[in-house]
Order: sequence, then structure tokens, then C-alpha cells
Amino acid sequence: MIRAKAIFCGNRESLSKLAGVQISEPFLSLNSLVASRGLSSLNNPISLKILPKKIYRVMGKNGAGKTTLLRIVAGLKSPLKGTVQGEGHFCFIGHQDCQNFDLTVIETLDIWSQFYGGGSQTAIDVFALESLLNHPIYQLSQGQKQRLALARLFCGAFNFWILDEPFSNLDGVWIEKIEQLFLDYTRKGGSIIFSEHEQTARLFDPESIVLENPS
Amino acid sequence: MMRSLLKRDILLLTVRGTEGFTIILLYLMGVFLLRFHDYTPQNSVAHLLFLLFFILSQSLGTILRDDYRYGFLDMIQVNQDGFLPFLWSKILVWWGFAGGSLSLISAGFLLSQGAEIFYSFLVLMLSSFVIILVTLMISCLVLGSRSFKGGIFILSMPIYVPLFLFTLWALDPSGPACSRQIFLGGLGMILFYTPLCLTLSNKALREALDYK
Amino acid sequence: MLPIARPRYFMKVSKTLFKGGIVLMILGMTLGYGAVWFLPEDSVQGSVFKILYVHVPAAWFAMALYATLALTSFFYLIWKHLISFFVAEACAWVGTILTLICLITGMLWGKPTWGTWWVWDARLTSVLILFFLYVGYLVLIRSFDHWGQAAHSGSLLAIVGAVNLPIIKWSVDWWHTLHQPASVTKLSAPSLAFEFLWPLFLCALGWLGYVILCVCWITWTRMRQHQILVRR
Repeated sequence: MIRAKAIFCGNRESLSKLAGVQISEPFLSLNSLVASRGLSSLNNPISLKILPKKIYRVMGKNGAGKTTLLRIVAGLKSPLKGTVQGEGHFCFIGHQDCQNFDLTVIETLDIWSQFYGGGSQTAIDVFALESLLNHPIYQLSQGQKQRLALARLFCGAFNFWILDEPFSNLDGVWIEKIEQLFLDYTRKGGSIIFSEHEQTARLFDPESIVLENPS
Repeated sequence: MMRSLLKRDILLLTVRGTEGFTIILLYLMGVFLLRFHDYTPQNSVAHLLFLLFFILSQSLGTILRDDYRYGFLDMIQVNQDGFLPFLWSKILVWWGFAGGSLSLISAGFLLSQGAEIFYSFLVLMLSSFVIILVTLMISCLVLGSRSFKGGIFILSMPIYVPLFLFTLWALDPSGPACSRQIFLGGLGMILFYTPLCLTLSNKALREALDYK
Repeated sequence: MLPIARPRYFMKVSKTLFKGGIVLMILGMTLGYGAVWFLPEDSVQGSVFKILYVHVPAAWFAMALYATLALTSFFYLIWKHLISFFVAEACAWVGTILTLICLITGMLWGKPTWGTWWVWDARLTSVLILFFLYVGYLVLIRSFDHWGQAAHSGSLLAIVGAVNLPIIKWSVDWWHTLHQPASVTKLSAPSLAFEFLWPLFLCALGWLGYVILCVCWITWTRMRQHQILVRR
């Protein structure tokens, strides 16, 4: 378990290409973050350097502040103290799926790919959504919705994935496939930070950040 | 990117959702009651405008709630600089569909009062544009609050008053109004409301996401 | 940040204001309303016109409190200091009550004098709109769970209203000069002779004391709720 890490130093420029670029500077650096949201709060300051080609896992019980931390990393929430430095093209997939219940799957995918400038075919192939394309989203099961939410990762080129509990609602087959996807992505040069309840053995070896529950 | 936002809003408003048609239906019912119930012709324009403002602002009050709840605003915040394209897409789609249809219905009603239909239609399109701007701003301000269904009209009513008076004056069937004054007045309305509503909506959206 | 924003300094200042407010209220109200009691009756309206001495100060302070509300909301947006927000909320509460008093006394005055409870006049309409602005602000403030969000949204709404209020007044005036009401009614207050004017100022001072009292007390209550230092 690795906790508080080094301080950020030096300048960094924003990165735009993934494959074939030797990246040595960190993507993002979090310095002494303290934050709160509702009942959960990050009381112990967290400092972290996020480097390319690495996977980070945020762990903690319910209410420990995992979602808050991920939202701060994504830039959606400003911390009470501390700074987040760095930039990049992120994809943030939180608890809400960005899926409007009335639209069909193919319409949602088209909207996402037009928004991010990628194509929807990769997403459909990788997540096996062919059979679901013309169904409205309220007809999908939770697992299918989770797959669709993760499909957004393939609708554009991102430097960095921020995922809030990506393995929830998925069965064993899909969990393995997604772990493999994580590995492929980091080999190409991206980084991933995701959150989880408890420690599970995974195909990859992530660096863990453990959040203590304030008691 | 703007195309995706526009496409999403158009789909949600017309084909996949029921809000657009509910607005039109409610308004038609209101106009029918106004036309065939006993009323004094002097007040009919004021009543019509009040009905228009009320129905549009009540129905549009939850314009952003789904986007907030399902994380679409998060997506925009992470990957885009500011909310302006998102806001403009909403405004244009709602103005085109809801504003356009309600203005047509109202212009038809006013035709029976002896007004010129094209001219009334233009004035009403202007006022529906401003109503949508203001309602969007109020929706941004109440994002993240506990359910706020009835209060949107109370909150936005004071902000409409200049618009209401201007439209009433422009549509007054008895007094002849100089068209140049009306044009200038309309321009003034747009120049006043647009920057105010857009800046405040932007600010309010960012804060609302901060507390999510 | 202004020095007044610091809690201890604010408590010192507001305690002095509170004591001054008590004195002002007692003196102003007793002297002012005592003088009103002894004023002669008006030839046309009888004793009813004395309701003016409640109606006019209420109207003045309703407007002044809205200006204070807008100003403190603006300070909150710039410096994010919570006490500005509490003062704003206190002004909103007191302002609502005063606007309501103004409207009700206006109606009570209007019925015997002009024969009608209400008419869509410039001044009356704009006071009604002010009432809705206050009520809307309070409803918005109370509907959020987190005080930071309530303060931010409320401040934005207050600023929109503040920008809009002069325009409402101007446009409603302009509207009613264009369209004269059908019946000729003397709706503006007649210019008062001096002997009627000085009790008005005394009453206004009394009301000022009362307003300061209420605003301080409500601000302290809020500060206590948020556990910012309040020692009575």
C-alpha cells in the first residue's frame, strides 16, 4: 500500500498523443487534498503523482470519500485545501452513466462519439453491444448499462481514465475482459485511476490508495 | 460537438420525450378556455401572455434536472471549457420547438382579435426566447436543491416584468405602436437578458456540480 | 476581506448597533406615534390618513433592505464570507415582513379613501414585485441542503433582482404614463405640510431602530446555528 507520495515539481505540458510517445513526466499531481461532501470527507491530506502507463486503485469503505477524490481528480469539485496540477484529456465515468433513459443505445453511442470525435464502432465491438443497439436504455439490465457506460471510454482518444467503481454489476467474464482492456490501454501509454470497495486480485497490479473512514 | 448536443436535445424533446407535446397541449387547452369563456376583450392579450409565460416557465423548470442527475453535465464540465455550447443548444432547440409552436398558437388567437399575424408572431417569438433564457437561468440556480416544482414561476416572475410589459405594449390591439420603437425595445430586451442569463447560468452550473 | 467580516469585530459592531437600535426604536416610536396621536384630522380623509405613518416608513425600509440584500450578496460572491450571507438572509426576512405591512396598510388605506382594495398602478405593482422577489429569495435559500450552495444561488438571484428592480420601476412607470388608468385617482402621497412631516421622520427613526434590532438578532441566530462565535 502506498500512501502519501512526493511533491510536485517543475513544469509540465499537456499531452495529446497516446501511442509511441515516451512519456516521463507525470500526468497529474495532487497535493495535500482535503475535501468534504455531505457525510463523507477526506480528512487526511492526500498527495499523489499520477504517472503514465500506471494503474491506481482508490479503496475504502462506503463513505470514505472515494467518489469525492475521483471527482476532484476529474476537476468537477474543488478541494477545501490543496491543489491539483496538470492537464490532459480525461474520461470520467462516475456513478451516473450519462445515459438518458429514453434514448436508444445506438443514439447514445452516436451522441458520445460525435461529442468526443471518435467512432462508435470500436465501442460496439469491444463491449458486444450489437444485439442491444436499438433498445431504449430503460430496457437494459444493470450489467448492460454498466457495459454501455464503459463503452464511452472508446468513443474518443483519452490520456487518462477516471472510473468510479467500474466493476460493479458485472459478471466474472466481463470483469476479466475489462481487466485485459485496462492492461492494453496502459501499454499504449494511458493511465487509469479507479475506485473499489475491497481488495480483489486483478490481472494487473495497481498502486493502491487507501482512504480511512473518518470515525 | 455542437451537433451532438443539438441532436440529443432535439431527440429528447420531440421523439423520445413527452415534455414538448405536453406543453403544446396544455397551452392549447388554456387558449381554448380563454377564447370561449366569458372574458373582456381588453384583458385578453394580457391573459394570453400571462398564460404563455406561466406554461413555458412551469414546463421548462426541470429542463436541466435529467442532465444533472444522469451525469451529462459532469461530462461537459470535464471535457469542455464552460457550458456555453450546451446552454445555447438547449435554448435554440427549446425556442425553435416550444417557443415556435406556442407563438403560432398565440398569433392565431390574436388574429381573432384583429391583429396582424406575422407581426404578432415575431413579437411572441422574441418574448418566448427571453422566457426560455430566464427559465434556463432559474433552472441552473435551483439545480441540486430539493424538489422545486411549484416555485419556478414565483422565482422567475419578477425577472419577466419588463418583458411582459414590453410585449403587452407591442401587441396592444387598440393603440398603434411605432414599429421602430418596438424594434429598438426588442433589441434592448435581448441585449439585456442574454448576457445576464448566460453568465449567471454558467456560474451557477459550475457551483452546482461542485456540491453534487 | 473587510474587517467587519471577521466574527469578533462583527460581534463588537453589531452589539453596539443593537443597543443603539433599542434606544432609537423606543424613542422614535414613542415620540413619533405619540405625536401622530395628537395630530388633527384631515379634512377629506378623516383619521384614516394616519395609517400613512406606518405605511411610508415600511415602504422606505423595504426598498433600503433590498439594496442591503443585494450589496451583501455581492460581498458574499466576491469574498465568500459567510457573515455577509447571514446578514443578507436577515434582511430578506425583515424585508418580507415590511413589504407585507406596506401592502396591507396600503390596502387598508385605499379602501376607505379611494373605494378599492387594489389597482394595477406603477407604485403598487412594483411593491408587489418586490414582495415576490423577497419571497423567491427566501424559498430558494431554504431549499438547499448545503449552506454554501444556498448562499451562492441566493446571491446570484439577489443580484439578478437588484439589476432588474430599477428596470421594473422604470418600465412600470413608463407603462402607466402611456396608459392612464380609467378612473382618475390621486395615488401619490400629497405633499405634506411640515407639521405632518416631522412625526414621519420620528416614526422612520423608530422603524430604523426596529430593523437594526431584527437584522442583528437574525444574523446572530444564524451564526449560532453554524457555530460561529456568538456570546451574548
